[in-house]
Amino acid sequence: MPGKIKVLLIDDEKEFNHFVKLNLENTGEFEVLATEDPIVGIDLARRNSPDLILLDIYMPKLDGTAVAESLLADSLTSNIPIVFLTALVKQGELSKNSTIAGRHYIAKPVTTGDLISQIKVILKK
Amino acid sequence: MQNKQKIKKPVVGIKSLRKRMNRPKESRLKKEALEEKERMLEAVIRNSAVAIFVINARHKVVYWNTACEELTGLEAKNLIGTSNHWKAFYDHYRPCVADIIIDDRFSDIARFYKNYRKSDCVLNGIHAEGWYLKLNGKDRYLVFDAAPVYNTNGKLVAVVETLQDISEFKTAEKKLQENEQKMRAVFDQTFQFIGLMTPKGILIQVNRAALDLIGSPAAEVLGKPFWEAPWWTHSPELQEKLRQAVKKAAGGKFIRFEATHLDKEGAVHNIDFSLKPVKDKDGRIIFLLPEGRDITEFLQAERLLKESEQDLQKCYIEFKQTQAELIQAEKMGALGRLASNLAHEIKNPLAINLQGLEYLKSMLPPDKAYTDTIESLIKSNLRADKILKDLLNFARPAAPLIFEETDIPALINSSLFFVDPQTNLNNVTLTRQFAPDLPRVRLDYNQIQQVLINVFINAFDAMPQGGSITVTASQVEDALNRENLRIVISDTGCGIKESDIGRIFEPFFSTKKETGGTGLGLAISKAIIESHRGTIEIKSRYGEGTSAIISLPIV
Repeated sequence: MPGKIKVLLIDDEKEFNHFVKLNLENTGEFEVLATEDPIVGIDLARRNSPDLILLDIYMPKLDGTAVAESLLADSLTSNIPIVFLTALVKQGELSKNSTIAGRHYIAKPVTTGDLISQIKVILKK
Repeated sequence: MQNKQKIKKPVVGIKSLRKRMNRPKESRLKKEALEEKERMLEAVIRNSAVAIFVINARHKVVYWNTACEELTGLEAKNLIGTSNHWKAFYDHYRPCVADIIIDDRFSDIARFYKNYRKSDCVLNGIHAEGWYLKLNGKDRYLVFDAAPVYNTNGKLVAVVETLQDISEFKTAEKKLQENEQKMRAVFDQTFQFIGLMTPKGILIQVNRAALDLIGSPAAEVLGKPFWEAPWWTHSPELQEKLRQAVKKAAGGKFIRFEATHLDKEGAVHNIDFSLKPVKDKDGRIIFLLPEGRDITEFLQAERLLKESEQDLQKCYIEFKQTQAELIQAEKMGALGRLASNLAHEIKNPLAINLQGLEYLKSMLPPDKAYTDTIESLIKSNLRADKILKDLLNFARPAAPLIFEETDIPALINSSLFFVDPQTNLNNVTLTRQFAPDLPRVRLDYNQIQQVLINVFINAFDAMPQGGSITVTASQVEDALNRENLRIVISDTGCGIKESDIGRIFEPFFSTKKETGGTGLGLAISKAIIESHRGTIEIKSRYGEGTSAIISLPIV
């Protein structure tokens, strides 16, 4: 589906992935690959070369930051922008669009509108 | 003195009496009468309780009465006809007062007597007195009165000398003097002000301490009404009070009141003054005894004690507050950990809900009833998220402060950046007044920024219809001459009710619960400012506006 933004979503909350995928794809602008398993997520990234990866931080199987390190270490995925999704964000920091360890992040919960606008800012679209 | 009265007139000599008796021309009756008179005189002298001896013009003892024998221990029979009367008083020869009269040596008397004078009432008589040690077994103070006896031709024929032992009187007098000296010493050396006055208030005695205070000699105040003395003249009210007190004390009452005296340098002394009536044995009031105790230092000490008690009380309150704060901090630490975990656990389902609701919204037919319901659910979801964020900010265990030299205008401007979009929405005008040459201040940039954001958000929220916000930053000196950064953020909004002002920093107290306030913003701000050893104060007039005044030490 050329022209669509390919997003990979790695989050241990299956329902969250489900609804984000539906909402983004409903806009017609996105193609969303989603998995609750970080290991599977790394493999999907390698094989599908998404435009952007939405990555949860606190996951029981593998921490989001470790997933990010693994993706950055791999030449196949190292250029893919990673955006952390986290439930632990202070008020104010959201407006700053600031970074964690040099990476972008988006605080949960997030509206679809906010999510799309931030993805576009990061992808400069 | 009694003796002097008895011998006031020159005594007719015994010998002359005899001579007269021997005159043949005198009648037998006259002779008998004279003999009778002589016997009488002899009996009077002999039995007189006063010691008397008589010497003739040749210094021979012609009479030494019983009282004289008893006083001196020398018997008349051993002395009559001799000139040994001096032996009664001295261990070597020296003239007695009677001898001095006979020899007419008054000009020489000082050689023999320290204490002497011419008789007040007998012509050519002499009075002398002094201590005589071991005289007839004991120390005696003797008073000598010697009077010359002249014959009808005016020739000195004898001297009568009386002796009085007034040792007991003298001893008592000496004791009395000593006692008086002691009393005087106490009177004069006490630190209390003491005086004595008549029942009408005329000062008749005053002690040294009282005189020293005003620097006046006794003569200046004695004999005058007490209230006219310098202790009282600085205050007509006190003078009148004293006058009334004198009246009451003269009526038998004990009076006490607090007064002030001015000393010679004009310094004010606080005096515990009292006035006591002094009664004689019949109960009549004969004197009034004024006493004053200087309680200036006592009052000062009392005042200092009260102050230090207040300080102590203050310390205690501060201690209790600190203790409460520590307990609170401990609770908040635990709450922070709990909140942190809780927030994570709740935010994920919230995130799912939000996405799910948005999906439902996109899938449902465009019916207003549906979309309103979904919108309402989405807003509730976002509100729950905001509460969690505020709770996290408030209850998060205090992060260690990271101090950095901070440019204050830049900090304020960056804080405004986060709230700026609202200024356009709310039609708010913003005025910034930063003092030139504001120093860079060491503070935790992120934490102070959070405080400023909170205060700015409150200011915007207070002006939904628009208004103006003024933010000033300046360097000021506090009461202890310490340099402080002062940031004042004032709005022209709705203000805070007086009844709410006192609770404004309480956690979860909010005046805008309806619009999503969690009541944690100012509580967080206060904690942050206090962790910087600064202060934050909210001043407000309901309906007129609010100012937040933040002071931070410049270190």
